[in-house]
Parts: sequence; C-alpha cells; structure tokens
Amino acid sequence: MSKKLLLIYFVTFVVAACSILYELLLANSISLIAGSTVVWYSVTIGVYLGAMGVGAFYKDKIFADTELSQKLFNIEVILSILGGMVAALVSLSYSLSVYFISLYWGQMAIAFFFFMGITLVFAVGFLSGIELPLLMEIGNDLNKGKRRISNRILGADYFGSLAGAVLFPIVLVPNLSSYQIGFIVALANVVMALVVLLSLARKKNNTSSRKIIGLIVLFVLVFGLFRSWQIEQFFAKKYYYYLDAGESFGAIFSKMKDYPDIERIRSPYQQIDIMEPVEFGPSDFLVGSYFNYESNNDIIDERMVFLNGDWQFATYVERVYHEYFAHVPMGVSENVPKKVLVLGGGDGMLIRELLKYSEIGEIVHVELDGKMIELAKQHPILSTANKNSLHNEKVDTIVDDAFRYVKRTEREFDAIYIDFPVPADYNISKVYSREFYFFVEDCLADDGFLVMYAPGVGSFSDFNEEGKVIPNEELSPWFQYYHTLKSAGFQTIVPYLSLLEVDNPNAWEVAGELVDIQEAEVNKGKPIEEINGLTEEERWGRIEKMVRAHVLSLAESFIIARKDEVHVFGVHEHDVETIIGPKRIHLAFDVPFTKDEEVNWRYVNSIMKPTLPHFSVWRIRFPYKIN
Amino acid sequence: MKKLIPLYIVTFVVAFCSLMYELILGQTLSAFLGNTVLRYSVTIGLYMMAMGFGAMFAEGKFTEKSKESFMKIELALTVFGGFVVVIFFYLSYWIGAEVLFSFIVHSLIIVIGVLTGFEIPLLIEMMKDSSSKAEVQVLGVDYLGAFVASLVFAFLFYPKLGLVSAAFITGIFNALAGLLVFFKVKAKNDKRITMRKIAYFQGALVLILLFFLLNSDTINKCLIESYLNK
Repeated sequence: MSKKLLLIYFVTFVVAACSILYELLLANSISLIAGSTVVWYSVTIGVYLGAMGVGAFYKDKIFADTELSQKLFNIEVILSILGGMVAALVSLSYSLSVYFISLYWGQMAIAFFFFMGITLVFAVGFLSGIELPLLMEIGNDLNKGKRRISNRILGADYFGSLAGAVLFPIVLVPNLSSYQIGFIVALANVVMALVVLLSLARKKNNTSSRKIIGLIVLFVLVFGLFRSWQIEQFFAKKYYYYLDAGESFGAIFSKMKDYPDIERIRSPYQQIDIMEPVEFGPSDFLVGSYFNYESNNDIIDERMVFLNGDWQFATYVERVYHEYFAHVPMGVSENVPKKVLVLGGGDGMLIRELLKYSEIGEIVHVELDGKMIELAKQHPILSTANKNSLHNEKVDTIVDDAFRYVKRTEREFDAIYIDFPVPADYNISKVYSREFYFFVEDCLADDGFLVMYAPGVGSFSDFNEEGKVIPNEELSPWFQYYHTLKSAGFQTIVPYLSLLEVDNPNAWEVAGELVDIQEAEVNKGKPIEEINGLTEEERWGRIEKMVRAHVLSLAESFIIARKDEVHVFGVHEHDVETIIGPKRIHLAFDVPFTKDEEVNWRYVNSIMKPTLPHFSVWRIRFPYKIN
Repeated sequence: MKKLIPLYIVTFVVAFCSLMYELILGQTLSAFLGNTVLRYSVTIGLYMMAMGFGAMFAEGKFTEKSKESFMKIELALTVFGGFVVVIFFYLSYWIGAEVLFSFIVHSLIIVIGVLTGFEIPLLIEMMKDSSSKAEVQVLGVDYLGAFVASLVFAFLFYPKLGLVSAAFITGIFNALAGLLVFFKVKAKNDKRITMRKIAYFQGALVLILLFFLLNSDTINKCLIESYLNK
C-alpha cells in the first residue's frame, strides 16, 4: 500500500474524530447552559446527521473550481476556526441572550440562544458532510486504475467517529475545560489540513498563501490554548456577575477585572463552581438576625457553590436549609435513629447537623462525585463550614452511584436522608424515580423514616390574608413526588417547608433599618420640603413585606416518608429543642397539601417514563433564582 | 417521480426508526447504568461505526436481490428494535453481572447499526432504475428522517410515551415500511414466494406490536415489577 494512501486513511480518521468531537462539545456546552442533557444530546446528533447529508449534497457547489486537495484544505481550515471557537460562541450567545432578557424579550431571547446553538451544530455538520466525499474522491484518484477504496475511507471515518465519541466523555470532559477541548481538537484538525496541503497538492499549483493561512490559524489556536484559563474566567464571570455588572451591552465584552475569580473544579460528573458573592440584598442581611451565633467561629467566609451552573448553597444561608433538613424529622420521631444512610450531600453540611446527635452511632454516606468529597474535606472554607464533618470517625463515606448502592446493599437503616440536586435533567430524575424509592424502601427499617429534599414543592407558595403560607400545587412538582413515593410503597408522606417565623423581633429590627436606608436612598439630594416621610403604618407595611419575602425566599421543601401509617406528627423532646424550636417545627408542617388516596399513575416518575423535570426544556439557566 | 414517492417514504421511516432505536438504547443504558454523557457518546460512536460496516458489507453483497434483502432487514430490525426494551429488561433480570449486561446491550447497538447500514445501499439500488440522482436523494431523505427522530424522541416519545411504548411504535413504523416496499416497489430478480412469507411475518409482527402497544401500561408495570423484585 502506498504511503499516500496510508496518509489518507490517517487524515480521514483524525478529521472524523475532530468532527464528532466538535459536535459533542457543542452538545455539552449547550446542555451546560440549557440543562436537559438528554434532549440536547439527541437533538445535536439529529441535526449533525441531517447537516452532514446537506453538506454531502452541496459538496460540488462549494469551492467548485478549486483542486480537490486544496478544497479539502479550505474546508478543514474553516472547520478548525469554527471548531476552536464553538465553546466560546455558545458562551457568547448565552451572554447575549441574557442581555436580551434584560430588555424584556423573554421567549425570543431563549429562542435566540437555541437558534445560535443549533446553527453551530448545523455548520459543523455541513462542513463535515463535505469532507468525507472529498476524501473518497482524493483517495480514488490516488489509486487510479486499481480498485475503489471509498469503502476503506468510509471505514477510517467511522473508526475516527468512534474514537472521538469514546475519548470525549472518558478523557476530555473530566480533565479539560470546553475551551481547551475546542482548541486542542482544532489544532489536530488544522495540522491535518496542512498535512493534506503539503503531501497531496500538486506541485504546479501555488499553495504558499494557503500555507501561510494554515500557519496563522495554527498559531492563533496555540495562543488560545495558552489563554484558555483566561477565556474560561471571562465567561464564568459573565455567568455569575453579569446581572450585578449592570446588564449593559458593554458589560458583555468587558473583562470584569474588579470581580473575584471563580474557583472551578471539574469531575467526570459535573463542574463545581465556588464563587464569592459581591453584593448582598436585604435577604442576605436579614438571615443573620434569625440565628444566635454562639461565637465568631460560626460566621465564616461567604461563598456560593454551583453544580453545572445550578445554585447549590451559600455558606451564609445554608444553615436554614440543613437545620430544617436534619432536625425536623428527628423532632417528630419517637426515637433518634442509630444507623443513618445519607445519599448525596457531598458538601458534608447535612452530616455536620446529624453529628449533633450523640445517639447516632453510624452514618453511611454515599456520594457519586469523589471530587466533591475531596473538596468538602480539604477546601479551607468548605471544610470550616461543615466543621470537618466528613473526617468524623462515625462517618463512612462511599463514592458510588446512590441508585446502584441502594439496589445492591443488604443493610438496613433507621433513617435515610436524601440530598440530591434539583431534578432539572433526566439523568438526575433517575434518583427521584419510583424504581429508586423502591430500593430505598427496601433498606429502610420498618419503623424508620426517609427524608428527602423535594426541590420546588415550596416554589410559587405565598402568604394568604391570614398570614398562612399556601402552596401552589399545580405549578410545583408536589403531585409528582407524592404519587411516585406512594407507588413505591410508602404509606405516610408528609411535606414540610423550612419556614422561618415572620414575627421575629430581630428580623423586624434589621428590616426596619433596611427600609430606612432605602428611604434615605430615594430621598437623597431632594430638598427637604419635597420629602414625604413614610407614615408609621406604611413603614410597618414595608417591613412586613420585606420579612415575608425573605421567609419565602428561604423556604426550601422536604418530604418525610414512612412505610407505616402515622397520622399524628407530634414534637418529641430530643436535642432538637435547642437546635430548632417546636415553634419552627409547627410552622414547617403548617402548609396545606393535597394527599390523594389512590396512586395516580399519570404523575409517577419512572426511569422508563419520566415525569420530572415537570417544566419545559425550553429554558436557559440562571445562576440565581429570579423571583 | 410518482413511482419514487413510496421509496422516499420508506427511506424517511427507516432512518427515523434506526435513530429512534439507538436513542432508546442510549437512554435505557443511561437509565440502568448511569452517566448519561458517556452512554450517549458511546452509543453515537458505535452506531456510526456499525452503520459504516453495514454499508461497506452490503455493497455488492446482496444488492442483486435488493427488494428481498431489504424486506429481510426490515424484519430483523422490527424484531430487534421493537422489542428492544423488553429484551433489555429480561437481560437485566437474567444477567446480574453488569459487565455482561452492558456487553450484550452494546452488541445490540451494533446489530441495529449494521442492519441500518445495509438499508442505504439497498434503497439506492432500488431507486437507481427510476432516478439518476438516487444516491444523493436517498442520503438527503435518510438524514432528514434521523433529524426528525431526534426531535420526536427528546420532546415526545421519551417524556410522553415512555421507552417501552416508544419502542413498540417505532417497531410498527418499521414493519409498515417493510410492507410498503412489498406492495409498492417493483422488483427484478427477487423470489416472489420468499417475499410473501416475509410479508406474512411482518404483518403478524405489526399485529403483535399493536397488541403490545395497546397494553403497554400493563407490560410496563410487569417489566418494572420484575426488575424491582429481583
């Protein structure tokens, strides 16, 4: 076999791997912003295949008068430039659509993002579709007179696709940022373009201008690769600080040097971001007024943690969430459990709360992401926040898929705590499924309890005229959780919200100061005679409104489930008295939810037919809750 | 042109079905074994590779009896594809070992990919007589089918029907495409008797799948029960 033919096979292999890698990178970048991994991966595959078809159709019409090898060079260089930039272009489209949202374009802004993403997928697919027939033609020309080799080129192409598809999830995603992946793949691609030009182009043609272009692209890509950390920071800061930076068009392109860098840790499963919040709203000031901090050690540096861009917790408000999570179910149980299973919760905060019970003899902690455990144990701020809970000798941490663990374990636990992220994606929906709860039920003692974080059940709740919180069951996923748990065999299913009391005197004092500051801000610079001071009634009204908004913003939702039927939930005297008082426990349960007698299968979330996420996939992520 | 319309429909439907099977397989894998990104990437890679092998193997091999071969392939795809999720459940039921399970499922991905790869050369062969641009047209319609499948899977079949029913419906489409070829496409060298037999089988499969589809809620529950009570 001639050397040139071998070279053609090699080039085919590499460029095919590059094409599929660009597409997977696009799928990954789009789903990091839009969520719904399953949806955007399948749409990317479909559009990619479709676009390759269109490309194959138009292959003769593009660069029609150019010699084949030079035409291939052109295509490969365009692909390298485009492919090297896809991750950055997706991020830029996101920034632009956030800007459009700030202009109140709403759905149009989201449509813009998806339009850009799918256009990129199409463009890469289109160019890849031209590439393969060209390589076949070149190969057949080289092999003139002998048998056709298009099938072998096709083979090399398919092997390249497979290699790219395997390399991406196993090697590239866990170790490199999207921008780095893009630059590296594009570099391989432009090198192949130059190889084609140097070895296959006919001597008589002048190729020097093409060589120069190829080299320039090569250098730009190498430069980009060295600057990829900066590029990553540039877009990460856009994501987290853009709203703060004033939502102006100019801010999209500014470097935001005044803002602190984002700490980003990559694992095979997710991208963990730790960011330092720069500005605080009333809610952030109010939260402290609810806690009696015992010493200065209780107050730590303020950080927010995000998983794949979704908000997880902030170190200065997580106490509300984790205290209600850990202690409310203890407060309504007869006994404190001895053996506890914690699923998820890799940050160690929930375990910090559980360790306050001396009765708990053993905590088995199952977390999917070993990187998260490492962070919780070693990160200076996080390990201070969780009080080194994961180093405690009672805690046995297992790095495993929770679904697999509960399916296989033979052990039985008195209490199971489930702390997973929001099921915004079908792959997380799996650990909110009937199948999962069934296996959970299997390793729960007959008189034990399960308590889970039930994201979204408390969203859209509001105070009614009597000052009682009323949930919005139609918009929230309450029925999905309820019927799924019921279908898995749980008899008692009781939701509760982490509701703080509205009538807290400390909170009213802080809110009063905040209202006065706001008022002073409004009146700044006005002549005295134009200032209309607030009447006492107006002032109290505003304070109450502020405190209520604060209480709702911290109202996360949980569900306690038991195998047996328990009708009355009473407050029992454990250590809980000192941590979370009976008043808050009563408040937590004092929210009316519908409980049907029969399982309604329409709502049951199954791995075979998911009903969660219950909202449209037609959305993009925001770092904060937008109320 | 008019003669070609059934073939266009067939091309569209079979492309739709193949990608739908693969997406169902990828999603089932990720549901059973976790790690969506890995499962999807590997499924696409294997699918494309297997299609390539199928296409390479098919060229010149059985293009002579294009219609008969095509019907056989559709029959095989209906059997493997339509019952894919059922096969899956029984595999995970009988085979505890994840390694073996995942080996068999990946083989299934390759089988469906190879069978899909056979389709395109055969369709081109069948179209050749009436159209000179057969190759490009078949490819174009084929890609369109795959594109539509990806959207239908993500927005309709998975969330609204569930994997089990989605596989049954896709199997029915596939069988109907095979039957459409039998009734509407003229063949040259193929044996009428063999084809009639295949068509009978295919018709029976449509009825079975339709029956399964109508009872998919019950089947779904039975499958999950057997999976859970293992």
